[in-house]
Amino acid sequence: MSADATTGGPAAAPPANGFVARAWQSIQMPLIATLAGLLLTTVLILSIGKSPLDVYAALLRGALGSVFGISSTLRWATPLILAGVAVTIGFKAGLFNAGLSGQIYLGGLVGSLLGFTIDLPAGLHPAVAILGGGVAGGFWALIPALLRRYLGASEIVTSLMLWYVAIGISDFLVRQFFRDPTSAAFLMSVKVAPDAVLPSFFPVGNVSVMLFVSIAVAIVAHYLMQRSRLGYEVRLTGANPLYAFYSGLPTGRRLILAFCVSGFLAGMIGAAESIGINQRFVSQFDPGFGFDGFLVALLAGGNIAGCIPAGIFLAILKAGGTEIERTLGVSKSIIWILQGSIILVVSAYRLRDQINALFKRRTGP
Amino acid sequence: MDILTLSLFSSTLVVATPLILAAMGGMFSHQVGVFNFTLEGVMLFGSFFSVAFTILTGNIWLGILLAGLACIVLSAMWSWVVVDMGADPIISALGFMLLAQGGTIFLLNAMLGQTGGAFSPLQLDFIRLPFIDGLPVLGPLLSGHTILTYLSWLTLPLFVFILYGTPFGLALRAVGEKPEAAAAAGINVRLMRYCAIAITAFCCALAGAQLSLGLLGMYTDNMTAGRGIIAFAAVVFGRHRPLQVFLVALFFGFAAALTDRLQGFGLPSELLNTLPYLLTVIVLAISGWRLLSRRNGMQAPPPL
Repeated sequence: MSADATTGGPAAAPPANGFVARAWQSIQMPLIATLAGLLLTTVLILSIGKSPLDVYAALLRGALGSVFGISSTLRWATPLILAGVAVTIGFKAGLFNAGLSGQIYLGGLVGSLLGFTIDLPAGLHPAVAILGGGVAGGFWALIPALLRRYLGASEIVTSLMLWYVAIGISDFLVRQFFRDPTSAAFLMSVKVAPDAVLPSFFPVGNVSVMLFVSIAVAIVAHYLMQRSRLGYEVRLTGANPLYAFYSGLPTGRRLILAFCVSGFLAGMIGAAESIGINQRFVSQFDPGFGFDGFLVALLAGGNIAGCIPAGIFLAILKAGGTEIERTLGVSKSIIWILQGSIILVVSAYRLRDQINALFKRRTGP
Repeated sequence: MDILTLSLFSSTLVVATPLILAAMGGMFSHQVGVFNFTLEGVMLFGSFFSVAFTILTGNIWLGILLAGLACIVLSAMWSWVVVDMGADPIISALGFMLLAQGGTIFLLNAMLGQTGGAFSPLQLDFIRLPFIDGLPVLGPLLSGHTILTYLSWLTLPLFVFILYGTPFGLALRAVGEKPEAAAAAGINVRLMRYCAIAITAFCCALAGAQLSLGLLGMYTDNMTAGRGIIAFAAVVFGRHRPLQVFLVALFFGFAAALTDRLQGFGLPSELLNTLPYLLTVIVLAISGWRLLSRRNGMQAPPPL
């Protein structure tokens, strides 16, 4: 089994005509999965004697009801869009970068190292740190990519394993060489230079110019994937590897390239989080962007530009999660449950077929 | 520096127990051709529920049994999505893992009113084997473990017998090797897959119980910490054959015990903790085993 399983999210349905029909088809699975997730969380909220409507209202209020809420939503959207794009680029090549978190972690380490070890002018410093973090992430992704290319080892398992290795190496280096001597309880590095900090342009919160970088990356990557020759080759490698191979494409190199680009974007996330939000490397700084990245990519259904709305949707959940914990005392783990159940169901394409069949029977032929 | 002491091998058996239980359980799913990546999530649910139900019922055996049943029910959700609804097994299993991480935090608060973790009033006893206990080398090595450790050894002969000595095992293997032929022979393929995933879930629940009730006497958030993934790697590397899976899981347990031991000698714990994961990567790499890559043809293209 699972030889026919698609990694590109929902299985492809017969192509529909027209933009609206295609758009409807591509959001069916995410919609079904989100409704299924909401059903589960509703039952759980009812079971602890709280009102689901209160919780969902608080969630929206927390995410969109104030300037602080909106800035918080945009703050989360920044890494989530990028994480979704990183995972989707892997999907396009038929690869599943399950170790995104490891690449993010290492990117965070190298980004903050560049933030406090070198001296550069204000405009250039953050850019160098973020690109350096990207290179670190890309390098970390190169290992599973090479193992996959030359030894056939599943990139899913090896990249996931290397996540734990990245945590070990980074924490070790920071504890040994870069630890902030004033921090007793938490393992964190010294602060980055003031020049390297990404400033927030919002009156409150932490929304940096990185938001526009994320959106721009999504749009440019979408365009390159759809329109450029290299993007076409990557997609062909993912869609039909044997055909691509016997057409003379260097499929191995395309696989490695796609995986490394995915890791590069992940590394950028880590670096931007470190110099923008924490202004230093903090152990365990990543609140699960790897998982969030899968969810964004799955909701976007393999469409790179689709990661922008999907990332904002998930950012709303994240920003609102804090609010429901603060005002209603409902643990924000309910948001994880919602996310988990969406991922659980989102690739279950036969569920959609059955619902469609049911719908057709009801409304007649 | 005595590293290779008797106590190292004894603690290998302790540390390997959850890995062996989860891997031997996971083997059943792979035998019916279901790529089961939920081991981590089910194990986490298992370690939580075994403590929660032990607290609620006041009986450790009832607690473990109910935890096993709860895990079977929860993983049936995943079975339905994968077996009947055609979901991608890895993607949906990652969802299940997140569901387990969020779900255990939520339920800890909802069922026990606690956050972060919970102590169990009861703990599994360390059983002194009647005859072996007195022997010079075997005594300290084999005696004085929890019942789940002994059970983990019993899984080897038991599962070999079930798989290769019973009609049920034959049906399981037939479903894994050729579902169409099995269906034509009158075997209920869906039922077999549900059964195998349920067995996996029960074993993972026991693995989780060993972590919480056997080793620590308490549950803490996310206490499985990737052990389920290592167990999964053991299934894959052991090519879902009972003896191989058992030995690989034991070997991973040895690596973990060695890590704990070396930590005592002042070596940096962060680096040592990466050892089992690094080892898994190396093992997957040198095995170069193609069956693991799920998408046919996505493996390294044929050499020219």
